[in-house]
Amino acid sequence: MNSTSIKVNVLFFGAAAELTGKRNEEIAFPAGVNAAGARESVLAAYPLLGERYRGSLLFSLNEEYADGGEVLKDGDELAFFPPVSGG
Amino acid sequence: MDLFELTTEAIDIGAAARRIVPPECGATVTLDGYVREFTRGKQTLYLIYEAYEPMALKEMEKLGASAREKFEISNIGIIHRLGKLEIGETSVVVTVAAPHRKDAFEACAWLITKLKKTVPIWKKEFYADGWAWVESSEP
Repeated sequence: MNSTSIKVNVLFFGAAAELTGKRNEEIAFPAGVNAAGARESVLAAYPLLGERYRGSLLFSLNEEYADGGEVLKDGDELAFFPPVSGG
Repeated sequence: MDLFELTTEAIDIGAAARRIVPPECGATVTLDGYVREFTRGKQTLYLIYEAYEPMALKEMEKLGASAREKFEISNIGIIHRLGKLEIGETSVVVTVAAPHRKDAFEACAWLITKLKKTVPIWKKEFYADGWAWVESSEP
């Protein structure tokens, strides 16, 4: 680990897990990246996810809904998921 | 005492409703949400719920706190089932105890509407000819 990148634990749920083929993945991002930037990287890395959910994919940081501006820290938990459908 | 739970076991609705009743209350309104067989004419065989469990519990607790600020209510219980559910099985219970019934009705309706929009749980429906993740929940 150097000072120019951070490692984030990325989780996928629901259809997002199926489209990426993963439930979790450790991803390195440049230090200073915010949650919206990380979302863009993940959508680019998984084209099927991007195609289906570019406009609607939700994300949370450390189990709280994120608005995108939050700067990520090493060890953060970032989750991506489709609009919810419980009930 | 409030009650926020996720479970893969069958939910006992009556027991859930009774668990939240404090002495100052006179009415409990309980929603029993269960698996619907026909949605817009299409037959569902069974379904699977998945959750981001720790965040779902946090969001349920937040909804409980918001509901208590908006309505004159005492205790709240929300239990959501996860895993595979058959037709007719209870998927969600929202139960609200209040001194008077009007607040219990209103808070219960508000809670289930919010739960469907904010709590990170997803429903996958299985049909005779395939499956689909549900994305447009009813208002």
